[in-house]
Amino acid sequence: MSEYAIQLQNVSKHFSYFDLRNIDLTLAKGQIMGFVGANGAGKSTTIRLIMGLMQADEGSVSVMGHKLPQEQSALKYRVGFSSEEMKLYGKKNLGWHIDFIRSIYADWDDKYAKELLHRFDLNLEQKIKQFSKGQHIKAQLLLVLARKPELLVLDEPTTGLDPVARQEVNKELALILKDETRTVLFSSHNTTDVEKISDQITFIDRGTIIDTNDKESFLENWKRIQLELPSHHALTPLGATINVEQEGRLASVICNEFSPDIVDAYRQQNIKVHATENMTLEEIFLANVNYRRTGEIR
Amino acid sequence: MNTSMIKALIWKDWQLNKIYIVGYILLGILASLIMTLPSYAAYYIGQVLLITVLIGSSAQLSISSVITEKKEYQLSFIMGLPINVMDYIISKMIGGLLIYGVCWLAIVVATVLVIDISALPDGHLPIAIICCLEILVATALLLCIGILSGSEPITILSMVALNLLFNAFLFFIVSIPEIGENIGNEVASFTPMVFTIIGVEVALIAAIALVTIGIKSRQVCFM
Repeated sequence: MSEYAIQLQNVSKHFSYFDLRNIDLTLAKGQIMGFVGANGAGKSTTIRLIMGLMQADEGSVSVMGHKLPQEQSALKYRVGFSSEEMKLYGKKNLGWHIDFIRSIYADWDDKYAKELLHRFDLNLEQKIKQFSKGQHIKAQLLLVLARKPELLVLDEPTTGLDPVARQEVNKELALILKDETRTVLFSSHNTTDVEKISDQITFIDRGTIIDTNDKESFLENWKRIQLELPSHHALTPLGATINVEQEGRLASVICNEFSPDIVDAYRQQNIKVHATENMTLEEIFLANVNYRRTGEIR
Repeated sequence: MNTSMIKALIWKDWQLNKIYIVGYILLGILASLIMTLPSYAAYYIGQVLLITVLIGSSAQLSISSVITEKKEYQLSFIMGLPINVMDYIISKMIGGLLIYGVCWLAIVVATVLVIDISALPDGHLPIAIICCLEILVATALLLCIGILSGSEPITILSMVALNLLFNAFLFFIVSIPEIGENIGNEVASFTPMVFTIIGVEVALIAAIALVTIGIKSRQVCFM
């Protein structure tokens, strides 16, 4: 039995307007992965490949031990999938949708569904077309979670929500995920949402995975160092420096493999270290994308 | 093939369409009754209404269950369920025909009964059944076009073409002496020609369904 819930090996998919190239992605069982990328970076395409909805041109896709897309039908009994573009039937109410999904999944948990209904403050009798976008997303999450999937795949669940609805959905999602031991892949272009929920983080840009690590490692390894140089000469970067911004004698350096030795090395060069700052996930993501796009180590 | 999921999807489509189906059945029965009123105008109004109801229900079902589901992104919801492309296509093709079949059968049975019981000549029966079957063939074709193209404009254009084809078919059938000359008879003449046409129509429906499923069976993924 594989220890991985998701395993993509050297996966490529060609479109006339976009290419997904050499994707290697693994997610261990029981982990929550945030899949971060800008709009059009390839998040949804990767997720479609993971769900067996699309066939890779090259490479192999295996999810919960099922080869995809051939075994997608069997896989989807074990996976709960919710995407931003997914819509329920507007003319029917939530109760009708629950009956429909309950008739398909033997593991449907009525007690849990009622609990979620209460937590999400949803009305069974209300027609879906009368739901706000936030309510629609919560209804989708209810339908996915109450079937007790082993793997949860959420494609941009909070995109397009106003800040209040987004906060509500995130709060509920964080609570639910804390309760459970299931594996989750959660895509978003909103790094704040991902930072709150995920253990593992993968960045994708222009169809290529540019970085993947656990959240703590990202936050520990990526630091911004504020320096004051003895002269106006350009700074010679040390260690794993991926970005330098210098104005006169003041410089700001971003490292992606920070260690106190780097600070000591600057000090030895008679450079004053004003501060070593933590970076937010958004700053890390942006620095990472810019670094990969320019391909420059300065 | 996941038969339990195919059944669940057909049941879901029935749930989504049953209210309209019941409405169309009532309208169809009303149209049949109007045909029996002792007036030439009423007969033609009833006939036109009957054909309109059969064609209208066919178009609505084909467009709502295949095209609208895709256009309104409910297909994305369905794709997340434990099905593959084949299960989905079978549910749409066979399910679409079965759901429309409920409406069609109820209206055809009502029409046959009305013709049989009323003062209308029973000679109407063969042509009524042949024409109703032609509409069932057109429904199968419309479902096939909707499923294969996934395009609303193409499906609507096909619907218009099939409606025009129905008029041409009507003229063609009436022009067959074995059928046209017997319309006014008090006794229905189910000649070998009538059975041949009925047989061809039924075979066409089966062929369209099989070809649609056959073409789509080569598609491994939804996208």
